[in-house]
Amino acid sequence: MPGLELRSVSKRFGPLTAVEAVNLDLPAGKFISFLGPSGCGKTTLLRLIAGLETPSSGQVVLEDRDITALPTHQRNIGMVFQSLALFPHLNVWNNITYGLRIRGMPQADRRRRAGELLEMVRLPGVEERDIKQLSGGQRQRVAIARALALEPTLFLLDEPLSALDAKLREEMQVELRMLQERLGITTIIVTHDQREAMTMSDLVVVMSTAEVQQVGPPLEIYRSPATAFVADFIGSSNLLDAQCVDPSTVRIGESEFSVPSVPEGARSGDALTLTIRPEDVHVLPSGDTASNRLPGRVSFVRDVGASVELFLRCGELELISISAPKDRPEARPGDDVMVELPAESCVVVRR
Amino acid sequence: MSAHSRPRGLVPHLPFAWPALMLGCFFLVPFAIMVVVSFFHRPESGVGTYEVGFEFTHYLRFFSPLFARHILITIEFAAVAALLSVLVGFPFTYFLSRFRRRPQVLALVFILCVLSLSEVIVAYSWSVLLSRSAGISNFFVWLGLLAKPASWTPGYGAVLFGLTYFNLPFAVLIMYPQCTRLDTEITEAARTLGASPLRTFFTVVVPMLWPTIMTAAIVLFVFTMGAFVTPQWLGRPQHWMFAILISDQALTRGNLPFASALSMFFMAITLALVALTVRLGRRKIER
Amino acid sequence: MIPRVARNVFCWLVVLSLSLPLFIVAGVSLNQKKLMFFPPRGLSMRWYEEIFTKSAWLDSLLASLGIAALAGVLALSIALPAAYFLWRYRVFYAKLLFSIGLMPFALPPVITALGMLMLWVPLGLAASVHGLALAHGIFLVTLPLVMISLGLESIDREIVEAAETMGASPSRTFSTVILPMVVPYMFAGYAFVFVISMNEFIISFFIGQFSLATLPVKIFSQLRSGYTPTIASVSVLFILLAVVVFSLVARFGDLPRLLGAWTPKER
Repeated sequence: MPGLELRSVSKRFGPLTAVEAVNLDLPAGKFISFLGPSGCGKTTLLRLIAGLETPSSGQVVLEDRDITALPTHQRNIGMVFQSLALFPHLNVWNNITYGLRIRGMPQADRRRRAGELLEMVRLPGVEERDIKQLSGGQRQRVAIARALALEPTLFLLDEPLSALDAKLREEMQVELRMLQERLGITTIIVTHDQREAMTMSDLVVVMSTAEVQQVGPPLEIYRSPATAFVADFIGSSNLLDAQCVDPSTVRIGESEFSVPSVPEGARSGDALTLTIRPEDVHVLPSGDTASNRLPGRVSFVRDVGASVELFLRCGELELISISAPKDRPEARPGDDVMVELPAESCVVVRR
Repeated sequence: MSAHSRPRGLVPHLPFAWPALMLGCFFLVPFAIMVVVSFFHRPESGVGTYEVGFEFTHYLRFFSPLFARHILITIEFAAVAALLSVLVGFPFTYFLSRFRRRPQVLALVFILCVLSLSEVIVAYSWSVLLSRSAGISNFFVWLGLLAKPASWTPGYGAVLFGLTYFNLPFAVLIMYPQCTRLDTEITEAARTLGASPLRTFFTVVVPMLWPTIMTAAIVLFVFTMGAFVTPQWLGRPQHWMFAILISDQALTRGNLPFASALSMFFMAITLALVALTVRLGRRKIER
Repeated sequence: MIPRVARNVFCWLVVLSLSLPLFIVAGVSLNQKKLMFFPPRGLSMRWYEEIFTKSAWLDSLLASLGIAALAGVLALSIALPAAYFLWRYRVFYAKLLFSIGLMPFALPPVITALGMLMLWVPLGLAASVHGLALAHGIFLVTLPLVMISLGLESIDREIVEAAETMGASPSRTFSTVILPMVVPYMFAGYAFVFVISMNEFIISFFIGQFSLATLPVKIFSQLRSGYTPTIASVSVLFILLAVVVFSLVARFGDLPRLLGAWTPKER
């Protein structure tokens, strides 16, 4: 099924480029996250899809139809805003059925539909309430019901959960995902929280400084980041400056490390970055030299209960290792240790 | 400092003393004088004098067709001009608040310049604009819309135009703060829900800013009630508003007790109409 | 929003009709003969010279300038402590004082004018520059009062608390922390009082008692006795004054903020 396609879409605000030549092909019926730090252009990209901004160049194509010039109100989208943007002058059910009223649905039908929608977002019986009388989580649900009232082709959410506290946020993430699976609607959420993106999405679009860095399923992005930025942004990563030796070896300082592969086209002597997840860094007692190992010293130990983090110093390099409490290595600050970077866990990207 | 502590002792009260003294002596005392004088006696021959006394003579003089006519025309002008200026001013202010920063600042400077213009200058420029020799009718003749230049002043329409013009910049400045506070996401939300821009304006922007629109209408109404130069200049004697009668009694005829009584009556009418409008406005919101 | 073209056309129409009378007056002021024509017949600057050479006009100009300058100082001296007192202590009499300060703008000004006249005459304040400056300072106090309050409201109270934890006394906090932050608002308030006092008519008319004429009163009486293009040239001078003052305010201050603009995202 054809979904949403962006063809080299750019957006400039005066001298500032918010989105630079973005090409995306997003399949229908999927849950997609735009993930990136603040100011990376992800919200602008969402607003371009909604028609709230007009692209400086490029096309937006929805279900094989070019909608670049179509005004927002003719696009049939549902959107949840960061501020939620509920109408303060209308009560709950009038908020939810605002779009239906525009379409001329009779009042009795709208009333019934409002009930169904509130049922769907698990907030029944608040039809007559004022927006001011609702809690943050309840407002969230009303905003979602309102966005879905017109059975839109696209469901867009702009950091909708950022105002909620951590516990409620995680509940809503699961609930949103289940709702989306039930309705099978193409959904795009903008977020800067990688956990949120990982929890909910079929597909994650990682952005930084106006450009798309990588598109893929959450696990793929986590396991094999395409760039140093992605590796760093998705969970914490150790980023080590390396030099290419041959297609399966890189050099870090004086030591050589074998790796599964190097980026395509990298030649001997090219500057690369070796990334490795902290949970893949093994800490062994001092002395056992072997390949892919470095001697080092423990500089700090952080024990947060659920996991233990060791801060390591190997000559010029600084590394972090995370392990579960039961695998906790016997190490205290100041101890000399041997640090192992298993070849299969190393991902080498261009610098 | 706790956020709202109470001032204790003399020193913390010092910043209160000077403003209270000044406003008390030079704003409240004149008021009190006016209330008292409105009951005083006016000697037959004395111009600009009064004698201590207590009489309702001046208040009883209101019950004449002349005053009824003038108070009615005053209310009519004030109401229509307030309505017109809000009608034009509200969309303008709302659009203005959506401008980018630079044009917005420029427009505000322009509005402030028009606002600061003396009522005298405004009335004068309208009298020029509507006059036969230098007015806009010459332009219409040039365009072929009129056969020969016409004089449109003095007249009812000229007064109304002048008052509305004078009010418009105030209307803009009164509504401006609330217009800027309207989050753009609210109107964007209406658009994602299928409302056309015009529809959004009437179903979201106007209802949300209704209290602001009402406030502006009331303030402008009070404001226009006191118009002095415009009706005198651009209107005929039957268009003279109440402020002219007060000044005529006070300055030309020197009847201060009667002028005071007129002022009290004028203030009472103004406040009553404001109270009424507020009530009507509130009912409209609840509906 | 509303289709952009329609919106722009509407805004330009409003701006145009607001500036139309100003253009006409400017044109009339350039007439060579002592008659009112638009477009002007023959160009001449003599009506501008007259403002500065004829003593009647020059006296009025100087009186207006003096009154406006003094009224601004007086209005600030009342507004600043009143606004500060309300901001610092939310006691009922502070609120009462504040509402009294708002009243001049909530009443038809002719009433204030009459009341003042009846006090000013026995006190010997009528028809004098300082008497009129006092009247304008009181009458226009609302403007700096509202503006300084806006400025105070924008101060984070934690900043004040921070100063106090570092040992600053209330008066020290006021002069080193609060005052510097409200200075732009005071500056704008002064500019507003100055320009509006220059243009104010009815109070000047009542208190001036026909013997002290500010420029608007002078124009008013001149128009009664017969037309002279000097009226137009004075009007142009006023427009220029307003343009200069408000452009300066916009240049050195955040004008939208001073006028109460506030967007939810700023917080």
